[in-house]
Amino acid sequence: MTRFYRLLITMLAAFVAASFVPAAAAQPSSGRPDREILVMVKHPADHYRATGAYGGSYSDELGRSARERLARQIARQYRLTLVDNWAMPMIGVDCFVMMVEDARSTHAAADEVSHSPDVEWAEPVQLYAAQASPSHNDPLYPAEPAASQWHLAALHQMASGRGTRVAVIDSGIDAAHPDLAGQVMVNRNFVAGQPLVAEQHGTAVAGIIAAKADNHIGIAGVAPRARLLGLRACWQGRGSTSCDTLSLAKALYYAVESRPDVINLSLSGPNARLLREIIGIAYARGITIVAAYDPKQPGGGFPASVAGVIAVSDAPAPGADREVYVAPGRDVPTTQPGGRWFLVNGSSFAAAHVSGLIALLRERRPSAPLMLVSQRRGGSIDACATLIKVSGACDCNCSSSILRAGLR
Amino acid sequence: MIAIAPRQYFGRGFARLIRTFLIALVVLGVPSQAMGQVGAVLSAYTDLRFRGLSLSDGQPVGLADLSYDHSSGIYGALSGSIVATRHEGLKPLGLTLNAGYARRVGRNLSLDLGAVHSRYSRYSGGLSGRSYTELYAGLSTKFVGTRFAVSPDYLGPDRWTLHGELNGHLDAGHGFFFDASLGALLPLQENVYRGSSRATWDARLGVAKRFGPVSIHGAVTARGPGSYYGGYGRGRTAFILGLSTAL
Repeated sequence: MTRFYRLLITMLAAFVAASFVPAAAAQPSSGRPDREILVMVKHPADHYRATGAYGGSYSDELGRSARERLARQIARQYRLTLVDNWAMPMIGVDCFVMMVEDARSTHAAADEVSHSPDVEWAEPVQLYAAQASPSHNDPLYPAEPAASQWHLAALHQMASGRGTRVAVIDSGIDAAHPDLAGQVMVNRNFVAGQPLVAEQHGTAVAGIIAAKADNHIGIAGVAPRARLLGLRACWQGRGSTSCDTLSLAKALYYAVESRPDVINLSLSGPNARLLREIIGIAYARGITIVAAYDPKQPGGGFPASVAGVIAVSDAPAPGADREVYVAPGRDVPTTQPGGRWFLVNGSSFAAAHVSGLIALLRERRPSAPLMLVSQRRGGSIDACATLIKVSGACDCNCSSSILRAGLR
Repeated sequence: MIAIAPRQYFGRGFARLIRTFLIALVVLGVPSQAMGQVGAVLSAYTDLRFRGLSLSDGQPVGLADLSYDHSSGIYGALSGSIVATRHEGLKPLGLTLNAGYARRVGRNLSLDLGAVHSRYSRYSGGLSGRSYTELYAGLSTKFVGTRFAVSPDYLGPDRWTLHGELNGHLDAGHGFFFDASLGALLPLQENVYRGSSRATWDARLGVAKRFGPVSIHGAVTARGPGSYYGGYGRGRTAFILGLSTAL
């Protein structure tokens, strides 16, 4: 072997060895999302690799190894700890979770890392909150507001959501609840370090959208024949339900790949580019996204503030700078874990009503432009008029609102 | 001990080519990764199959793969292999150089143009080694792709061929990766190889499971009965197992 090859091989071996730094290996979830940032490393365009035992292929083990090496280097360079990663080829990046161990703020660390030429962008992990008002603990069985305000039984004469799928990105759903059994076709967990469990908020949202009708128990969902994708990205705490950027991104990514008709996001929080990118792809693919409006946050909070997302509130939002739809969200009976029913309040549940309504619309006209009819800008949704506008027929008793809307 | 002497096993010209490629890799990859991504994978397989043809005479192989992806879309790769021969222990088997350019032409569509040059020593099963050069063009989406490759010397001098393939690749989550390909090799000249100009097909179905730093691979490869491969290449169907680790 010549000296030249010895030298080159030594240099390459040193380069390979330098990448093997155990301290930089990915750690299990830190459990501290408030100290984590998301670092996006760009995917090169897919290409053939003439390597491996099969003479070459388009599989990407080498590419993955390159991006993981790069992430380890970035972590070392910016004094971060690599925690986890999640490939997102749909938006052309691998998302690496890194923890800020020192006194820097996560915003400052993300800003520093963003200057690396190898990084597409970086952002802190942020927290999102379900938009539910505090609820009672006593099980109640009152009439559903949608039954009278939306003439739900009459709507179901025209459409019941058959053949449609609604992704519920929320806390865990009780798929065994008697009003939901058979309705949840997928029930997946995207919260790191926690098992999939049935929780109040997710189960309540699921019930409003798709609880079974005419089964002699509980309630009827707005779209009782729709099927649900239960994607747990949030977790229940004491008196609140929270999510973070990464869990939401994973669930949203899965949802977009599954191409449901509607994605329901009954939550609100700060703006995040990663989530906005995925929502943009969902929008481009014709998936409708419904989000809860939070009047306490700028623009109604994220993702309700994103163009194309249907923002829904349980009460009029007179100061809003965009159209905010109002739907039933007060004293709504719905499903709760353990085979029970409770009353719930909040924009989360107004959003769930609209997701159900859109499932009805999609059953009637799967690809028609979506148009929700409200009595005035920022007013309550007229569900009958909305459905009749796409169905073209009036074979239900929707009161006078039908006549007004049907002629528009 | 494995003697690494490309000149001895693969010829002087090819050794110069490798030297140039290694210099480029060291210059581009070692001092800074600011403008690109460098990947390295070590692996071992029970056989080295190329389009269903064994290039290791059915013997186990070890591979070292290096890749470089520049942010402009230019990429390169170097793959070296050794073989556990039946009677002579570990011997150098092959070297492959690959360079190309890939760019996204749509959100999920990539165009890929490149060249591959491979040389295999006499331990590949042929009497005097094998080599081939291919120029290729491919289109790939997230899950499927197609690629056409023209070779002027497909595993022997003056054998013009066209290979077309459909391939699929899927990251199924939970560390599972699937890939598959179905190809057809068409001779572009008649009667240049054992009096035959028959086309032949090849196929592969593979799965890999990642366990931390290590991936386990399994694949079935098969090829049609065309005489283009001559009498070499072992059986036409093979099941391959392998282990790999990314560095």
